Amino acid sequence: MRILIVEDSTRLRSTLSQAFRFSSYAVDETGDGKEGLWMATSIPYDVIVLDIMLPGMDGLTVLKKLRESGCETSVLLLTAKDAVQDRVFGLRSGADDYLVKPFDLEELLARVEVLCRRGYGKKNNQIVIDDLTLDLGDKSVKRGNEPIELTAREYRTLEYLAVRRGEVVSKQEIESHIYDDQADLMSNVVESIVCDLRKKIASPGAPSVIQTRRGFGYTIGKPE
Amino acid sequence: MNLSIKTKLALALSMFAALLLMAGGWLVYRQIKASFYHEFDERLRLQAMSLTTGIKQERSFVDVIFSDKYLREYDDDESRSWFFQIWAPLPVDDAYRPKTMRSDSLKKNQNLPRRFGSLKEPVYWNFELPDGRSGRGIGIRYVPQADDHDRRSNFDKNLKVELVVAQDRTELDQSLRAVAKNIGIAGGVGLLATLLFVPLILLRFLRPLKSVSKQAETIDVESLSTRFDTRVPPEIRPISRALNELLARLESSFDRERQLSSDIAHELRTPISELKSYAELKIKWPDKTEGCFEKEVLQMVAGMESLVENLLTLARMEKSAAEFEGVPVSLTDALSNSVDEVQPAAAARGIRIRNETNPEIRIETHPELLQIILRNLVSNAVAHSPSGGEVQIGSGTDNELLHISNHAPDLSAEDLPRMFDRLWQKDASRSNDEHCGLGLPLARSCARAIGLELTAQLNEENRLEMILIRFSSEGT
Repeated sequence: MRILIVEDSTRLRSTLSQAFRFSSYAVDETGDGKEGLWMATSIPYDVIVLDIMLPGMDGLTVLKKLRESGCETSVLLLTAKDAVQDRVFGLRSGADDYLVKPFDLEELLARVEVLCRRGYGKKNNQIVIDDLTLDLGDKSVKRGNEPIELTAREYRTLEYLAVRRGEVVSKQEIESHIYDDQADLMSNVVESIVCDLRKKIASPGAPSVIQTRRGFGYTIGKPE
Repeated sequence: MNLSIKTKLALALSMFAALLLMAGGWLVYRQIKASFYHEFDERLRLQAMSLTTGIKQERSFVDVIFSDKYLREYDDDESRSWFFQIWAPLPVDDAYRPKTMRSDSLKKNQNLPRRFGSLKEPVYWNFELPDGRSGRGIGIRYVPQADDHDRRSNFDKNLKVELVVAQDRTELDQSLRAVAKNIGIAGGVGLLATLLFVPLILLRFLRPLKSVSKQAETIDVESLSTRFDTRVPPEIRPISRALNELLARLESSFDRERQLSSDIAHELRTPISELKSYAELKIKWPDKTEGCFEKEVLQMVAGMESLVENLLTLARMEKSAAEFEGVPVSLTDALSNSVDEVQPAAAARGIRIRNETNPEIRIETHPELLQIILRNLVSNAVAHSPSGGEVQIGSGTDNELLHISNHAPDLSAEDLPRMFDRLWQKDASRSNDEHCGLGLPLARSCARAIGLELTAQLNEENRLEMILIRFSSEGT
């Protein structure tokens, strides 16, 4: 999953970015509201973590403009304003969730995970495809009871395909969801990852759960 | 014994009423007594005058001829209340010439006391009558007229007659005692009425004061917006107004304290989040995170400390009115301290500081507050100036005391009104712990506290100019 963090505190932004990256997210970040709006409307993020008190353009204005532009990306508001009216206003402005500072990092990670899951209509934390089980919570993959070790990008790719099981996902979509702007992309990076992924999750004698739709992209499993 | 004002007032008014009644009663009694005595003395005088008409000079003697009608009052009977006695050469047989003539009401050996005035100014006085009763008499010494046929040839102007007429004044004394008693009774009733009604009247008219007192008892920290009614008697109105002003100051002070607490709590949330999230990151991924944990934590804590200190200072500045005693301060000297402090940081980034203030400018002001202003302005200018840029400091004309400018490529005109908002920062980086967005609000509050004003403007070259203005050419 790819998320955007818009937070003007450099230190906090850096900490959150690291936490999400360590949790296998692709993370983009900015400390300016205007830049955040531009990024949010240009790139299809799965979740946007948005601070309210921002230079350039405050978070609620960013949210409002985002919704006016038709963007339905899930937004979690992060702020020091804890009054009920502030929370209600934020939620009614189009936010999907609201977290008051100071917060538990685990809680933030959990809430973002839920928003990511809901973005794909998933209520279950686990996705089962044949004998493969993805746990979206702890970012783990198992075949039966056997854990499968994947790199962060491999997991993100598998996770993205899994939440869109049955759909054909283009290479560009995969790229935009598993890479942040720090990534140094090569032209065949997706093919390379899918190839490695297939090897790791392959079941002996069974066809790969990841199928190629030549000219269109990849798909995994059947629609639920 | 701590008496209430009402009790003290009641006692004082009662004592005053008592004194007033006593003085008034005494004056009335005196007046009545004088009137009674005047009347009494007039009767004495008339009696004496009528007696003098019967006393004539005849040759070298005095002849007394009284009609029975005159002497009836002086009869020796039970009610005898009139007395007279005459001392003069009186005619008797050649062998003996007594010099006194008494009324029948006096016994042979009874004499009236002798005091005399003239016909025009007789003497009146109180004395004890020979029978022991209280009396009052009139005494006259005069030269009687001569008998008609002796008037010219035998008139002796040295022939004096002394006459005392006296009357029993028992009835007069009784009347006066009755008057005194009645005045005393009236005074006593008046005093009682005073003692009874004064406290009631005080209670009634001090009710507004009690009402103010009761209302004051109900006021606490949560009800400082209460105000006392100023539609009260003129004596209490100043109290109500003063209390209202006090409440307004208290409310403002408590609001500031609450706002400060709220600001500190609010603004510490982000630094605390930074600290907490960083610690949680380190705990969850100890091997993956880079950087020195202790150093980072210390920096964050220093930032929080700075934030709290600045908020507290800002609150103090906003609270205090301009009650200070100005001392002469050289602007150049005050500036040089601030410039010296930032020189190392400026030099490290290649920033030049050009100081062209007028060395002769001196102002009467608060030295510490001025230093806070200058330190904030200079350090802000250096911190936000691009590397290799120039900070210009100068003094203006008229009301412009000082201007400090630095190139500010990131600022726009829309940012200017927000610059003095607490904790506003143009720079997205909050990790600069020395600049937490309170410098300019603090500088402005200090400026206003000492009668100056701080404004900001952007010129055509996008240089931010901070201008310190004074409102009179004589300074603060």
